[in-house]
Amino acid sequence: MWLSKIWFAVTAFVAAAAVAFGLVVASVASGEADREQAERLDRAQDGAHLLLKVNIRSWIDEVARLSTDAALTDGAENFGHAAAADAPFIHDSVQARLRALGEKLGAELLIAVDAGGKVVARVGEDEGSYGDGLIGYPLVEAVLRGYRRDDSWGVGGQLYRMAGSPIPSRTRERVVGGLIVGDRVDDAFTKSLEARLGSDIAFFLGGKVVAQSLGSPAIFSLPARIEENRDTLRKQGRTPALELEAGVGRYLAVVAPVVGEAAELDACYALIVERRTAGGFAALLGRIGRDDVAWGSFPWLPVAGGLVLALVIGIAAMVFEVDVPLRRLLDESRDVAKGISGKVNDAALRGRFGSIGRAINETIERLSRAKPGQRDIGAILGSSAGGELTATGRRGATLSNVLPALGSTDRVPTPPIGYPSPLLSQQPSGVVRSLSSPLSSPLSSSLSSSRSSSPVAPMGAELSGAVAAVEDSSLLEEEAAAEEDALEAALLQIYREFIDTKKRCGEADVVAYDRFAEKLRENRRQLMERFGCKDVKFIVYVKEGKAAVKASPVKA
Amino acid sequence: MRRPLILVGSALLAVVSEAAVVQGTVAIPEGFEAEIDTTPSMWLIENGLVPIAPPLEDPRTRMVVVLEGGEAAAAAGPSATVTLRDMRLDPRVLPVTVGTAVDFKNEDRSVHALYSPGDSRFAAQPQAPGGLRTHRFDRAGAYEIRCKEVPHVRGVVLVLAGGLFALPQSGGGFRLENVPAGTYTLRVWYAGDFIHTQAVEVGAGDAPSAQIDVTLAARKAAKTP
Repeated sequence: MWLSKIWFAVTAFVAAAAVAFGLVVASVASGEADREQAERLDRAQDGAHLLLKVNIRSWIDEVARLSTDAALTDGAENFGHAAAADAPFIHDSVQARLRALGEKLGAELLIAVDAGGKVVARVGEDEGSYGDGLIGYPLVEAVLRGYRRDDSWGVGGQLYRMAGSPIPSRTRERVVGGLIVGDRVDDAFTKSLEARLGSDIAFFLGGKVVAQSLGSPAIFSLPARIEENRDTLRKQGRTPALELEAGVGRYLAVVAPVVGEAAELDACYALIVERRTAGGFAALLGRIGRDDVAWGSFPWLPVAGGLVLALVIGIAAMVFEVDVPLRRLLDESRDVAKGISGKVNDAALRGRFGSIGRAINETIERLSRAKPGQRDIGAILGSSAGGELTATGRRGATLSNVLPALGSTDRVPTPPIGYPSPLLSQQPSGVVRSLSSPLSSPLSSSLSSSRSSSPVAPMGAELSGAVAAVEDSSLLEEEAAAEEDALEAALLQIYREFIDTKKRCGEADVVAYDRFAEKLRENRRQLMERFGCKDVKFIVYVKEGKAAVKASPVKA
Repeated sequence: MRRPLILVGSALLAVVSEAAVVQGTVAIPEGFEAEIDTTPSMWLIENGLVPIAPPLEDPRTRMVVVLEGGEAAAAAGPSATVTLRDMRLDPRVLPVTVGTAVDFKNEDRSVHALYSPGDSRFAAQPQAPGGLRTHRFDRAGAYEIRCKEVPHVRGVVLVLAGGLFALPQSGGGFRLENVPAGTYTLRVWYAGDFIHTQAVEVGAGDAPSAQIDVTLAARKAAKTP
């Protein structure tokens, strides 16, 4: 059974290799997914930068449109030259105008400065004060030179996106002041960005979260991670993908600095995506979707073909190495048990089945040499071979009763049990052999009650086409018991001949002796009743390439 | 990093009397790019209505003219003052000699926290409006001054080991008094480096003062707005 063992070893190896491959693939896939997510984050960061740039540009354009407001122009132009007494009135009017513009624009911080950078009025943070100078702010200085630009400020712990535009004089000859507008970065702003980016976003100022769209406590662990990567953030303009955890939530984040002055106050923003690959093999299985196992995307046919091929090879190996020799051993054992064969053909059996056959043969040979033990053959075979041989055992007992009668006649020597009859073995294959010869022995006498050529009657299904004929016998005066024994011996002889003929004809099926004998007995009884004959003659012959038994009534 | 500068200086030799007053002008040629102390932005767009004005501050006000050699030796001043006003330092560049105590006065309306990145002894401390903070600079060098609260507040305290020095006014004019007769080297410091050097001889004579014209070479700014 080496083939089966090798096959199981190969199968186990392939299965182990498949599992190992699956685990490795899961690991590789997890790493690849991380890289993909990191790249996705990088792209998202680029997209976020672009979005912020476009967003602030529209903000600058809006401020530029408002900076030509007449009230602002007059206020900025007159504030620097106004007498101290007039400054409050100018401030009030400009502040009122700023407030109106702020509501219209949706801005939280508005500042109007004059040409010298002095605050004319402000709305929002510290809006009660004015007259202080802001010329030091790069945004204010650029605006007063005539530029429109953006910036970011950290004011009062809040992050503002700033935009500024110069306030031109009515004659458009010079800059008389500047309008500075700030939009506070809050959660609503991050939500709007998230909707466009497809990634969560959060803003930080001075190591604190000022706005976020994530809504997870994981975000509060990010400032510490940013601090760890501060150098990379400064040198490369962004951090590598940082892993965040909070409870069951696992995220990846890429951090980039906010453009503008607030960057000096550690203002930055983070793009955050949920990390979906954590968990290795199990998570990878969990990620398998319907599309992954669809007919078009998965090689189901090769996989199924491989499975079927593996099954066929495995089963074939088992059949070749186990089932076939086992069945052959069983057949050989049955033949021995039924007396069809004298021994098991162990040369035709492979491996250990051959060893079993040889062991059986040795047992048979030992028993055959020991005559006192003949009576026990049926019992021995019956007890060791199971159901089919049990019947044989019973028959063996009957045969043993017949043997003395055979031995007393000396007409036809009955071969030892378990060995083929010389008479049967000498018959050429395919030749019809009648029972006349063996039944000329006392066995045939016991069967025959008369000699006549009677019509042939059909047999049953198994013996279809067979017609029985029984040769008349001169031994009717025998005792009923002896007659029965003789009948049994004759039936056994016919059975052997029938089985032998079937083998020669290449028929593999085996008819149980009990059934065979019962059928012939029944047929004999019917013919005797029907034709009033004394006996029935059975002849084994070949019909259409198959063994058959013909029964003929014997009247004489 | 600032690029090495090739300075072409035209020197006017002045022969002056003992303890003369040396006056001069620092001229900025075409192609001289000033360092704009600004922060990066996403957009910087011309307004389309009004012409863009030059920088509000003359870059020469951030220069220091130093006269070294001869018998020139400025005594360490007892103190100097830098004022925080309009969200910036005034002056933006302060030259002092070693050992000078510098007062930093906060005349702004908000809190500042000045510090020097290169000097651990001058760490950030909150300074309320109206507050005064004094720090003595005991070693020569250029000390950048920054504010933790307002990032754009920046300045430099240039601590010199010796020599005479002056801050040019807007327009480039400078004035050095009590210059003994002798041969000197005039150097111009700007944005972290000495960008100009020329020889100056101050001799004995009747003239009370001499005029020195300093023409700087064209340069590229390290940072652009």
